[in-house]
Amino acid sequence: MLFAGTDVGSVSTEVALVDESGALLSWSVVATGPRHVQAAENAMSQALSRIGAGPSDVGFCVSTGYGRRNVPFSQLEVTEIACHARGAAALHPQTRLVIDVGGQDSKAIRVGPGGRVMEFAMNDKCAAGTGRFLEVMARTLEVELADLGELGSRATRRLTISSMCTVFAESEVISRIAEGCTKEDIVRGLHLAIAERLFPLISRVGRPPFESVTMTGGVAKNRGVVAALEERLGCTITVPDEPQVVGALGAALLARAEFQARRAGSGGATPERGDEGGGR
Amino acid sequence: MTKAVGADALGWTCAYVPQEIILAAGYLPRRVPLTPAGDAPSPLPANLCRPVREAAAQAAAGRLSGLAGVAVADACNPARALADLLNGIPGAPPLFWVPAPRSARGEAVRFYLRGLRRFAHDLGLDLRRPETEARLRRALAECDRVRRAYAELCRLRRARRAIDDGELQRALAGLEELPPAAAARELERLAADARRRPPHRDPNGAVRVLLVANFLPHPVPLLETVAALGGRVVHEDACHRGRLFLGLAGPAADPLEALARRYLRRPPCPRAEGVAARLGYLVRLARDFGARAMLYCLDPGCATQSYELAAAREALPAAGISLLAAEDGDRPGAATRTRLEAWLSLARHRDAQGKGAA
Repeated sequence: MLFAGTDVGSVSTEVALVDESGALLSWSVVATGPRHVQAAENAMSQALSRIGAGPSDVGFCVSTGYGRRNVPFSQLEVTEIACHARGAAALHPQTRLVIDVGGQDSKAIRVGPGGRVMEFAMNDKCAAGTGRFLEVMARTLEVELADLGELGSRATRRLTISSMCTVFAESEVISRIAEGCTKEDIVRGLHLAIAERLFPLISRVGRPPFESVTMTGGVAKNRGVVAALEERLGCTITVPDEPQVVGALGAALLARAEFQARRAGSGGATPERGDEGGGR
Repeated sequence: MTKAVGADALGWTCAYVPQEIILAAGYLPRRVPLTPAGDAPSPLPANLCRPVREAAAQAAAGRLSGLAGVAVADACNPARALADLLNGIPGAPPLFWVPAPRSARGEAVRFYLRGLRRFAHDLGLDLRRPETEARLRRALAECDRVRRAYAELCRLRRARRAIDDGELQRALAGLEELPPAAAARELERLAADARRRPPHRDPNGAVRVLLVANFLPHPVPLLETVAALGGRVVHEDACHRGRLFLGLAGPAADPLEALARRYLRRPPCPRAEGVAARLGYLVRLARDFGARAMLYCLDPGCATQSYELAAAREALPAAGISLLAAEDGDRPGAATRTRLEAWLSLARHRDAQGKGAA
């Protein structure tokens, strides 16, 4: 029997499948686009086909992410805060702080043993410090989003992008281009600006020295942002091989726990049922 | 106060405008912005608070033209912007300007009292005439009846008597539109119904939440969202809602002076008496209602709220109260709903731990 986690984010949708022991068997990532249902179905279909399985093999599915309420085959919805905490702790059991930076949200989650959420902070309505910020800047600089990490690593001088607001930062980047600054230096400045923007959020759930930090979400694939955050926090950050799948993995593990709890008649095991911490 | 029924209505914008004076002058007090909230674009910029922008939108759209006037309290810069706007819109109702000092002490009360005398005079009240004083006393008594009824409902909520949230919110909204006697009757009916019911238990594991806001025009969907996510709003502290009805004017030799003291000495507004007094009040309120979680609906255009929130982020967790601040808290979008859900889950877990420890 398989257990599925479906994470419908603003940019991408991920599905993770685990077996009864909790081992990750398959996963998929597809662009979310405007239709959440279709994205979830495509991602599930891809993940299942990779291991030659079908929908009937899935015993329980938990959905998470911004579009979690639009997953027709989900039996339970859980916040991405709980799912990222659980997923990160499964991959790196020593994790005590999770920094999840996705397309439109950024979160800092203090976790306890087993991935229990002890405290969390999440950005409000502002796009600064999220993937959207990098997306806007990449467009302004006319570079590919995926190339930002590599570009930033070739910077030769430290440039400060002082605007925290995405709109003002875009104007500042245009000014820097006009001043003749290199794209590499500007990109590194943007990475430092993201780290600066995330630091107060992280400080709401923990204080230095920061230890056992795991970064998840699509932005964690950008080595430049990770390095800037490591510099700002003064610690090493662990990045899973596929950081954007961590939420789906957590959801799949919660699906497994929920299924087992229901079978045992204990009334459920997910955070939303009160057996674990949740997250703010 | 039969004369108010069917009489012209006069708008008021802020908790520092005494409705008793409006009633005594023969007008029905109507809160501005009027409900239902307008959907017209506001001529005032987005960095001003929501009620003021909405009032400006309604004025610009001509929706306030049925009012005999609008009384604006000099409580903050956005209120001054609204007053300037009302003065400049052709056909807008006449503006009555009411002072709003930042203290309830000595000279501040006397300053406010002078302003209230001028307001009463501008509304045509001759305070030297005995019948005017009698009308003012009747208005005080009517408004005090509303406040007593609201206080009783608060007491019943503290005692965990079942009160229908939707009915209560509709009754509170009615206070902004109905003559006080009718509004008081509705609150008294709710209280009588609640007294007949036994104390109720919260749904299993529900987190008791204190809701803090400046403006809650349509709170029912928010209360329902909180309930759906495993919480229960047990009390609201909103300057444009329940906080309006706290504190009695009471008997006094000079009814206007009683009013001045009542309006300035109510539980503290963030702009008066300092942030420490205000936070102390919120902590007491949370404890009174058995709430260990506070949902703070932040209006980014309200400088007073932003100032208070910075201090609240430190003070409330130190007092054992979990705080969630949300800019769109009263109309939660997807991201806020996620935060709300996760926050309630965490609070529920802490509640369970606290009970275990006890």
